[in-house]
Amino acid sequence: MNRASLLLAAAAIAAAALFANVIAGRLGLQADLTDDGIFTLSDASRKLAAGVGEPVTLELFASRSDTRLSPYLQAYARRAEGLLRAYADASGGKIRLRVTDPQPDTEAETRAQRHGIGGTRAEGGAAYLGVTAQQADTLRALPFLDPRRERFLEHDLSQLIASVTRLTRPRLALVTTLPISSDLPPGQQQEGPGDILIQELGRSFEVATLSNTATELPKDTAVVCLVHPHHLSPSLAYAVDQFLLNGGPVLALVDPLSRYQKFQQGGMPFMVVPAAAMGASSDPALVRGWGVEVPVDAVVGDAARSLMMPSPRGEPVSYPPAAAIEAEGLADDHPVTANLRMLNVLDAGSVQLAGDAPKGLVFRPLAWFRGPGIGAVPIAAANAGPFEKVAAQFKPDGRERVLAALVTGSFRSAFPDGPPKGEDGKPVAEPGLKASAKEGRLLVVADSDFALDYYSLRRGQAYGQQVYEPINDNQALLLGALETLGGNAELAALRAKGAAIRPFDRVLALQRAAQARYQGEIDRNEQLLNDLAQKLAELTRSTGGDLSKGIVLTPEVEREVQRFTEQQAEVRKTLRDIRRAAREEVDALGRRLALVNLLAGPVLAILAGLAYALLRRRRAA
Amino acid sequence: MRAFLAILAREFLGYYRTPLAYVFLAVFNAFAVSLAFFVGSFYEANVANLDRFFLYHPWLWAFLAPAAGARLWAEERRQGTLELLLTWPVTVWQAALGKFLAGWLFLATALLATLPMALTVGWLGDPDWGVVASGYAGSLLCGGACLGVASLCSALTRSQVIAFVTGFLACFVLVIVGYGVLDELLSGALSPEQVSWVARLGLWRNLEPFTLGSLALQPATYFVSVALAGLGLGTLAIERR
Repeated sequence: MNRASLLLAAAAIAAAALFANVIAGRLGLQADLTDDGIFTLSDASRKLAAGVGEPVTLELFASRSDTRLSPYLQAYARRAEGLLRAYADASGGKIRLRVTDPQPDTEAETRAQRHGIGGTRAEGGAAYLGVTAQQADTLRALPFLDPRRERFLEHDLSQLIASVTRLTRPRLALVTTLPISSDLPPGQQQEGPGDILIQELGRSFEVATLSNTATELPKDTAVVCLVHPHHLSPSLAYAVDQFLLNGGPVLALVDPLSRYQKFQQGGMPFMVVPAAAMGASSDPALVRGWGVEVPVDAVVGDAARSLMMPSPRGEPVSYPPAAAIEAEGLADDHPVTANLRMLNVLDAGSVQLAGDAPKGLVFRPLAWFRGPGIGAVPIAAANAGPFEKVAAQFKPDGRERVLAALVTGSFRSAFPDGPPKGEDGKPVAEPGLKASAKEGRLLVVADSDFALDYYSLRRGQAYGQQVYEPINDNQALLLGALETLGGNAELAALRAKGAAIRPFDRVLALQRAAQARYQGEIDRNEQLLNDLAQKLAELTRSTGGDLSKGIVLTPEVEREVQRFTEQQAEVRKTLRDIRRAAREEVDALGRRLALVNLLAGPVLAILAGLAYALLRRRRAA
Repeated sequence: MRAFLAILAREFLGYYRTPLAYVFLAVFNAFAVSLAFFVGSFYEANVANLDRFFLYHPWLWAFLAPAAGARLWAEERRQGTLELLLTWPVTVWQAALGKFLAGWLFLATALLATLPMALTVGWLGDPDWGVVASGYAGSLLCGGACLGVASLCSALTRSQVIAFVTGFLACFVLVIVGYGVLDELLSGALSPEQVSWVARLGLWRNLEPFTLGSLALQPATYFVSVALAGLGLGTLAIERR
């Protein structure tokens, strides 16, 4: 082979290798070997990715260097990356994925910060775990991927992509009589009871908040949500009625007793003072006109699943009208409720079809109260409070009641005589439809407090970030219902995936066992420490001062103080020893496993070598 | 075909005739386990997968594949047995492929000896076995790519030492491409897209999807094409003699 043909052959090999990689990259084939189908997008997301027109760039900001992001978050970051890659693969090249590890004080970190990616405090600089999606000039971010939202990861990512690709989000008309939103700029207002809720709604919808005095719905309204409606202006009521009859979806939160309204009337949210003992019911007339009944003369509760409420003295009392609805009370075959695990309701009512409802309306319960502890309290009693008195009047009757239902079919107008008259005595609008022109969809939930932030979220700090952790699926119900009704129904139908991060069960079991074994001792010693501290405090009080201020003590007292301090040190040491002993078993297991694994390889190698040598010798003989 | 299999068997068993092979197996295993446990905090992470074990495999292969591959050609050339080998009724390409596969099988046995790690996660928790299996498959492919590079280096020299050192350096480059540190160095000169593109040329970026349970065509092609390109270029170099 001469030099020229050699070079040619070498170049051909290099070119073939490059070509193979390019082709393979284009094909983007992959097999998903994971149990949970982590890399397999649901059809809804796949459709979304395939439908992207203008190129979208996804950028995952993940601080990958070991010390800055905890192993747990690292695992989560990889899971997110795998899913993001699946979007890119499903998009036919329209979605590009970029993975960035923002090192401290670099251009990448500046970019992350500019895009609002939140840095979590960590050793050696901030650590990042967030995603941005950009199409042309539109950029949106998920500032922090919270592993506690793992079930919603695909939903969140799809929503992020949808939010940059769709120029206009569907418009949500939020008709509310509760002051849950404020137009004041952030920072100049008190925290509202629905700030996070509205923020979440804003990811999927263009939210227009209307009060009950509004006279019309915004143009292009895609879905109407009535929050605790009462005293709607006649023209607004008629507009909503016509919206429903024209096939527009409506979600109504009709509440026999809005705790938040009572709070607004002067009481503390969980304390009822006599001055505020006036009604706080929604006006059920509009939905009653449509053929759906929500009695507001009683609140429903469940003595078997009641939650604790503070009494006037502050100690918790079991209050049946604050109750949990768990999986057996949720329709598992409807996309709105299929992925929910638990709802908490507060002074809720019940929903049923009215006796004179038009034939052909289909009533589909989505959430219900069922069980021997179910019962009700008359609204007057519930209004009067306080919680422990109301609880005493609660009578379980075991009768099943529906909390939330989807009603579909042909509705009749709530205004059979045509448009209502306004203050001037004239009809508020031209006569409209008397019955549904298109199939109507009305979802009614007999509670409004459930959706507000204070009853559905807990605020906390995690990884140095302000995070809101759902304490129940209340907001998921509301968001899912609205998305199903009027937003991207495909997003709402995204199935929740199993938690993919699996712990060492055996280590956890050891930890639990150790905890159980040593907890008594730990408690006893901590009690001892407390007692000692108290004795010391008493001692110094009795001598009339504060030890730290260097007052003069009598020798006896000084000896006592000395003795207590020594005892304290001893108990602290005992506590440390107990805690170490509790940890020891887990640590020891780790050491044993490392040793076994370290020895296993060499031992196997030596055995194999001996076997082979023996075999050869026998063959030679 | 028979001659090809004969070469494969001769080369594969050849590894085990030297004590070096057992030292190699022991060292590979000791490093793989120590890195996972003591550097990667495999146990403390409390996650039932082998992420922290496979994380260091590119480094291990970069060091150990050249150690195993250095003898592929250099030894034959030093001892003058290359001419003898080429008198067999096989083409040089068949001989090369046989040698390469034998080396790869040897690496596979080294990897096989780390199965106690998989048993360990299985005992500690409930791992996703599909992910474990795809991690092993990826690591094996990664080892193959390093071996391909090593075989090229071995074909270019008579000295096993030089073959090992150059092979290690070449693999080392493939390892550090795509690590955060290099990304940052490059980001001064290149745009983020270009940095991301360069990172895709590295071993880890291609191994990572396997460790997550995704058997993707693109990273698999990367490993196979690196292995075959190394093998092909090496064989060209041999043929030229």
